Amino acid sequence: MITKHDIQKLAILARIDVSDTEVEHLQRDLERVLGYVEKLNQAETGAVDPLTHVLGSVNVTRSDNESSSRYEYGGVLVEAAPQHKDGYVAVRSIWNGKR
Amino acid sequence: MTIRQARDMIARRETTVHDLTDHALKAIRTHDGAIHAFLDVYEEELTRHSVSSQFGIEGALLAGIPIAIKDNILIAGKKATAGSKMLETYEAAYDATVITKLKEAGAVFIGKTNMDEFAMGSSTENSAFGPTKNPHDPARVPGGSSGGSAAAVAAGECIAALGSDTGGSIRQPAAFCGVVGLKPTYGAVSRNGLIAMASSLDVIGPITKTVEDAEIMFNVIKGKDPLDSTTVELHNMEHGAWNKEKKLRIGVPKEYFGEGLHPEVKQAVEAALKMLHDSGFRIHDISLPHSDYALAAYYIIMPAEISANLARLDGIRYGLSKDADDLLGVYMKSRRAGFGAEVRRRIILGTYVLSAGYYDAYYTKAQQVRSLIKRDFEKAFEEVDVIVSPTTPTPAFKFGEKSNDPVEMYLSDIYTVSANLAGIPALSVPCGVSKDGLPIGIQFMGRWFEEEILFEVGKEVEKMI
Repeated sequence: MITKHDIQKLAILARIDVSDTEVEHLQRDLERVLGYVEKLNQAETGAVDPLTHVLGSVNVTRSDNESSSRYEYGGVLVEAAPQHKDGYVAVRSIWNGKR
Repeated sequence: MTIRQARDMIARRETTVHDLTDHALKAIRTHDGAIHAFLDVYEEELTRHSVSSQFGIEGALLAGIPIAIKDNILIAGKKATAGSKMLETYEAAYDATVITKLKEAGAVFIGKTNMDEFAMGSSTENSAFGPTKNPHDPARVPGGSSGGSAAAVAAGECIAALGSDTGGSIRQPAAFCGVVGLKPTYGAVSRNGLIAMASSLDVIGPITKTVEDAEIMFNVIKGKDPLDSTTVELHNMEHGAWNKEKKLRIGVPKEYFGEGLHPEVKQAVEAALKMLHDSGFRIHDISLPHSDYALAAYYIIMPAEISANLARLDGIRYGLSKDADDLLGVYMKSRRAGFGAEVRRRIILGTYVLSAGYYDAYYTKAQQVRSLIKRDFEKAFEEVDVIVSPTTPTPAFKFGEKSNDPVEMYLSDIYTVSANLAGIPALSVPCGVSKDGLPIGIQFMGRWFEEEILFEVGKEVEKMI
């Protein structure tokens, strides 16, 4: 059973504003989906290992060298940020309105 | 026109690269107002550059072939919206590896195709820019999430297209639009430059008019890529257990032909099976006992990965940003404004199943079931070379028919999700039409990295239909 309070808490964890109507819709939809996935409890999984990669790969590494020159992508990536200044990404401060 | 036909015509000097592009652009001008398969068409620059820039690549595998790209795959300097308001103005900074490979093969990119937002959906109804219509019946959905790519190929607006498939997003729209769709083996095609949805499931693959075209496209885009550490060397694995002299054994899993399957779809798939039998394939009844749990496991694993992958869309790094008094407010408002209802729903669901206290009950349990589903396939592939099923339980449904109930919509992926959970390749091929003239698709699933067997069987079906 998911409560309205649960949805509000999840919304903050997920960093998404939700209105009161949306809380109700999300509550209904999550109940519906979680009701459906309940059927997994009928599966006898015993001590089966959880599958984390279909081909069994773990910790694939590459050699530790630069794959591109230092400034090749830096500029365009910073420019993709909605707010940027002097080659840096600009953000609001954590506590109050200063940028 | 197919890739093969276009290549032959160019070789015989019966058409030019310029004409092929022109033909596609004309088809887009004629049909796309009604179909809305494209979000962006590179008309101006193609008209300006196409002739001169294509010289010197004649003879390349895809020289001059007009190809459409799903809008979650990056082309440097072009918009990549992923069907979302969040990325409405975002321009890609680099080419996806598949784009680099297609460019090297001489392909001409005609534009970017519509999709459910961030590839979450089965109908394109979740696109922030309006749905795509099924070219066979505009009252019906083209399927999704690669609905724009499938509709563009079906309507002749391009010769081939790329899509992405996390739970059926290439195969389901291919089936609904009467074209061919391949979901390659996980690890066969690089996802570098694909806007990630659920990384343990996502793959890029072709949507084409024929199986041979899908094979040509797959051979161009496959291969290990240092920029995607989940890709693997293919040469050791090709031709695995397959001996061309032996008659292929086709497995029919009883779990895929039960409740919920539309009688006309069942009939069309069974008719194709009978023809395969008559032409010498050996047909075996098999069982994939955990099939019934696949969709439930998928709807835990997929949203969990979405909630992590989409955290990067925070109003700071890319795309839409809403101002607020503090940083948390910027995140909350930007994500509220940028994401549509289905994306928000899946992020919140994913956050729930990963949260402390529920992680083992949901996520670990789903991963265990995923192991069992993979084992089902391993066991089945000891007996048979390929597994057959319908691609979808019904032909294309009407707009609005399933959009009010998420689970109803999710059920249209019931036959396709297992291949993603197990990482195996799967191919959808048209195998008939319903009374209403709607295409029906048959799905073939193969062993890991044995796409070639799927092409073999798929071509047989094409010959018969």
